[in-house]
Amino acid sequence: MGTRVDAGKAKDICPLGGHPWVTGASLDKRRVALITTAGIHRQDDTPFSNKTAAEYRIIPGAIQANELVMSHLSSNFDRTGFQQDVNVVFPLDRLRELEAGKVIGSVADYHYAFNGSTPIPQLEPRVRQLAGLLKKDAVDAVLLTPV
Amino acid sequence: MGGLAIYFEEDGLATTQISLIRIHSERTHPPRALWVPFELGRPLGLPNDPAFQKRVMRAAFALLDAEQGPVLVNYAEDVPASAAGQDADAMNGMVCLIDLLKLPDKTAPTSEIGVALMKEVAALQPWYDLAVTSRRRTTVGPSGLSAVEAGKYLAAFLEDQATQCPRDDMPPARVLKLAYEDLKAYYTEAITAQPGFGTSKRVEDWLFRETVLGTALWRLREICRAGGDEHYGYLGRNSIVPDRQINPAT
Repeated sequence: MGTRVDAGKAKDICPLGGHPWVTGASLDKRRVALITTAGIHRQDDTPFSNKTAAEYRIIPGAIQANELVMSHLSSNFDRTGFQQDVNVVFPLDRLRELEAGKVIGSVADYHYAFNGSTPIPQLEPRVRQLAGLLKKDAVDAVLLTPV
Repeated sequence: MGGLAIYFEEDGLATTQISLIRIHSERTHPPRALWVPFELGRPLGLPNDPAFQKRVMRAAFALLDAEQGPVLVNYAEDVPASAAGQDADAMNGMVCLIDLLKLPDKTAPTSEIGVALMKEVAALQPWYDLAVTSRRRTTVGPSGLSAVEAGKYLAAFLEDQATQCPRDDMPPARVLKLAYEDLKAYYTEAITAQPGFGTSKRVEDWLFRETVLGTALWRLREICRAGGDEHYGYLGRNSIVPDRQINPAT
């Protein structure tokens, strides 16, 4: 059962308006990318901070789990699950297995991470930029995971 | 999270997402969201359970087949109670002996809490090493400091907020944040390597209520909140002690 410690901040969440809806091929034909707001990145990347919170970090599709760390700004979520298994936050190994099992078409070459406690409008320019990059990678489905 | 999905979808990319806080998805109306009843920090539910994780993913991907939206669906399967923080006795037997070790070097802190912290860091080293060996990874590292170095800096900061920052390529508040997060990771990776390590909530309770580091972090929170510095103040208000430790009833 999950904790709901951040639910009280929901008053700060505002709808953006509009209900865009994109359809596509069946799942077994789709190329999938992961986008996480867990504030994870490679060991050598610049950690997230409150001054860089609107940035993103690139996670190459071939990365190994032991290369990923977390510098999310919030202290209000469990990190022991991530410490034991990256996939409980960023399920790249599972995505590879779904590709091997032909459940999805393929795994994108690049995935991306944001720091999730950042106000959404601040992230918009970067997200728009990523949308273009994802399409260049032939991605046609995105799975977003929070933390 | 929901806002990101809307931006992507506006730019022509189909999205589906996992939602941990249902009311956020209710307010932002992302195109497709699967609300899961899991703990914050664990959107796929259970670590080291690929089958469980893939069931969650398949449910999220199934939303791509919806004919219209927004779609917000509840995921029915919860994690077992034993993994969800319900067992108050789950951490019985956790050990952190600090009596047998010598201070690591002459630069070690001299304050009471600093000395105790360095002993505690050293006492956890075998368990941390075991964790790294068995998991073949560690999440300690963003600060660029070892656990000992991070502990020294934290202890020094508690005594003197103008203490020399161990890195000159980042603002001190940022280094401090990364240093204490690395210490938290060091502690929790170490303690969860012990047999029967219990639930995530109990690990957190142990860290903040039973360790010297926890005492240091509570003290750090007060120092940061009381000072007039904007950056340390932000840390003190938002980023040192979890809200549920400050207000256990929430």
